Amino acid sequence: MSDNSDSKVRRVLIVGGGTAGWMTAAALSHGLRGTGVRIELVESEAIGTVGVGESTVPHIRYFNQTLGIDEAGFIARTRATIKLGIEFRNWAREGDAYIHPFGAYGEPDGGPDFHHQWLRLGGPETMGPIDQWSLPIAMAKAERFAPPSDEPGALASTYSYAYQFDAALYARYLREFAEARGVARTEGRILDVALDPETGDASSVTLESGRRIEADLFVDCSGFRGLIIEQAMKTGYEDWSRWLPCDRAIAIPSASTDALPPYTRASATEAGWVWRIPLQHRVGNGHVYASAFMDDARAEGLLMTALEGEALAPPNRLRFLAGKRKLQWNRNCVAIGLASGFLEPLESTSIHLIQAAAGYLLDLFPTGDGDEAARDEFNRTMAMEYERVRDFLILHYHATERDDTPFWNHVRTMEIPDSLASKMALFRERGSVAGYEHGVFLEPSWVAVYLGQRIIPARHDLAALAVPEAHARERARALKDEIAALAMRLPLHRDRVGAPRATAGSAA
Amino acid sequence: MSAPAILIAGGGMAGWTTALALARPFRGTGARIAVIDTPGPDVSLGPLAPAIATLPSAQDAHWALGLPEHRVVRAGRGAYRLGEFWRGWDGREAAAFLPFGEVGADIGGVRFHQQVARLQALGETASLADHALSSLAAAAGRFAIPPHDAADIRATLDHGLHLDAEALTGALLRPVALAMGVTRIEGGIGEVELCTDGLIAALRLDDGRRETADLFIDATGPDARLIGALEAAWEDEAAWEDWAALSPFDRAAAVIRPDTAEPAPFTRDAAHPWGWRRTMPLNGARGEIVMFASRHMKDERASQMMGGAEPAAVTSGRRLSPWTGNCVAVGAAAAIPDPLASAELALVHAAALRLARLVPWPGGWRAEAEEFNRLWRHETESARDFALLRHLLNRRPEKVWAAAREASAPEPMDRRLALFAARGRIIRTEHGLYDDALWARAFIALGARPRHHDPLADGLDAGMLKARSARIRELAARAAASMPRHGDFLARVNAQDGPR
Repeated sequence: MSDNSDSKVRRVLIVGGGTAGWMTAAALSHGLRGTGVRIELVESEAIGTVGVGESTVPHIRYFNQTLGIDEAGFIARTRATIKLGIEFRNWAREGDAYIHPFGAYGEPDGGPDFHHQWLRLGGPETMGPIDQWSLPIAMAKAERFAPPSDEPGALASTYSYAYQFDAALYARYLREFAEARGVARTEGRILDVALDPETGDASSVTLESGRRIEADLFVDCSGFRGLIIEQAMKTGYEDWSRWLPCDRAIAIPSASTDALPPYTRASATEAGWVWRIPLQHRVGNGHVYASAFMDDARAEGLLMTALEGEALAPPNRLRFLAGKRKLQWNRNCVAIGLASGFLEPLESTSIHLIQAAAGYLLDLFPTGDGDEAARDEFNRTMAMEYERVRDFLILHYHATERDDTPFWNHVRTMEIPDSLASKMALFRERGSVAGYEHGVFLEPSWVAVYLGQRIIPARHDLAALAVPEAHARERARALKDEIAALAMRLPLHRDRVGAPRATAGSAA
Repeated sequence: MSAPAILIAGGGMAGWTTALALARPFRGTGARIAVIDTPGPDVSLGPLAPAIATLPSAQDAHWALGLPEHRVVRAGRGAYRLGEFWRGWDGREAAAFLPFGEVGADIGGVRFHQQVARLQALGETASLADHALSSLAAAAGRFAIPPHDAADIRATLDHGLHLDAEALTGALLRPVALAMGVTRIEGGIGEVELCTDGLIAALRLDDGRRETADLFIDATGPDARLIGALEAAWEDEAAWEDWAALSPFDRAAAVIRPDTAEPAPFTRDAAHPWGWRRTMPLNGARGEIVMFASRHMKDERASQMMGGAEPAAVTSGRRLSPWTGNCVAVGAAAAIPDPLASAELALVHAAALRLARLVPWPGGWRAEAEEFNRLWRHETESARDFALLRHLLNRRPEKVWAAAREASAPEPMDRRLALFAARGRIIRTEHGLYDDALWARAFIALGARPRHHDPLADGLDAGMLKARSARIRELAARAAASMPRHGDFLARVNAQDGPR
């Protein structure tokens, strides 16, 4: 223990393992090393974990790097594949497909962003899909991958990447990491949470075994039920289902096929969407749907039809409500993961929101004395993270031309948050993206989804006219060829991650 | 579709900077950009800005405007500033330095100022600024441009500038803009002709000429001739938000006067019983500003102190929607920040460069204006609060300074104060003009002491922290001694014809 610390927070109890619990345990054990703060995690093998977050965004690499995790070892242990983006099928119209890549279109040339030039040269009709000007999309389609170049301005530096991995294996990997750094793991089911009658703070939890564990700070990673934040503290929930009506999911793993695509797929259905996440050893599949518009049997039927390989386990069923806790840090309890809120994994943000919460918790780590300002800051910041992801998700549903089912009619015509309406207006008007500094999805992501959802701006940035048209056209043509050629020169994704071919042992 | 015509009213620093920001990306598009170059002194950045201090971000902005920094320095009778010396804000005459650039290095999530706070809790006496190369160099009158080699401690340096606004405009901004095809119209502004829908139809010059455009830029300074004319039609939307209640200092004067002493590479801010005085060394001159409470000092006394410059009422504030209809206000027509924020030019740069990305097609403007104004509110809010910090955290005994402490802190300043007071942390904001590290240094320079440092800092090995601290101070001291004198550096910049 440190000799001069006056912090009253000496014991942290993380309630629940799973991805959220072990990511938090790993981050805290690393960040609090040397402070003498004791970290304990209680989990029960009897309670299953949800593990929906098998697909990630590039920020996960920063999380791993901070912990000093070696990439090759991590890829091998978690059976990870590379992810260059998400392919959206059937969203704006049935039959449509586009990829939201981790990277900007074109290459930086000092002028307006490439999509303005693309619009100026005629947009989709004349130029064809803007996908042709994205190196990560070309790589994704060719199932090829090499890490981005760090040479500024180089075409090969214009993308980033994330992973698709087995979340259960990742949690196990981080458990080893955390335990090696002193996190004590306790197996057991929690029967009771005691609150201090005066302050309302949580004081202890009691396990089935009868053991009582006291702590100064509780991190609630107990999943949807929110054992402390909700069941004990009655914090309340902000319901966002009027914008995001999907409330159920069925998940099922299937055998690998010959392909090993370095991207996630999200295919829209009558009242939801089906995911496909290729890992080294299997494919994760699932169907997220709105029960008000589709029954469970129909949902399962559509999912089973979509499987490309043999099912490897019985389906796992989930229920949820889009939204977030009114306070994600209430009194001396911080909720992380599904206990803090739920946003469907359409843009693979579940793990990112865990990472963000664990990071802010460290930035604002409490001391048991005057923590109100830190708590307010945490709640304000996390609310902003959630709302920004929420708006981005709503965009996928709302910006559609689909009118083939009551579900699509509902999301197409519903009222949307003002924060999103003004963003969409700016893009529709002139192809500009409303900027922010903090949030998962920055400008290139918004551009990709706007265009993919067929929001074609009425006008482009006027400054695109500064380049003579013939010159711009020639440059775009050459760049398209360059991108296609460069992608084909890169190694195969399968070789890169060292995944064996499925064909030999066929669905073993 | 025809490219738009843009008419900039007011030919001061704000107007010509905006002209440049628009001229570069729109060259060859057919857009027409014209400046009505009004006669008289330049008040486009406000009445207190004959000389200005820029933030380090001006380097990027000048680059984006196509202006090499050495040309800016030469044309603007400029000098470099490595930070600000603040004297007297604590009520004793102790000086504190606010260094630009980087100071020390974070360890994992533990910011450097938290490491220093931990060392101080262990009895070490070195201050945060003692670890800053810019602080040591400034004290020794030395200056250098940071090298590209990140391993060299001089790479932690960063700087702003002191500039003579009129000199820079006349010798550089205007000629470069004209060379890029901007049209200059000489004359005064007469009447602003409005359409029935509240948009500007045309400007009448005082000789009767009538100028039309698709987009009008108001760079007329505090008079806000264009946007002011829109206030009636747009009511609250275009109105001015007055910041007078945030400060007890209601009078101010500014001047540039000759000074042949070697210019110090920093800004000097001194608090006095009646207010404060800022000194900005220029090449062969110095800019000065005093701001004071009329109850504690007479105008005559201030005028004497300022070589005859006439004090006037302080008019700090901002418009919440400087872009209203087909009119965009820049400079003092849009906001007059407290000079202690050093934000005048940063606000013009941000607005002009953003406008260049949002120039509307003829007929449209609403979506663009909303985005422009949204970011503007963040920027001006940060400028308001950065200056306000020195009012709220002063520890002087005089009544007027006590009143300055008592001003109620607006959102998000109240949160900013609370979070720092608890553990020395900085709130997360967006689109501000000052980075988190600078905010932390400003708090510390004013003697703010959190109840305790960040508990994560307690996890770091004390011996390692001490050794690092000593090493950084030693490297900084050695590097400072090896840097050229600021005067010599400036002489070289001014002697060269080409880029360095």
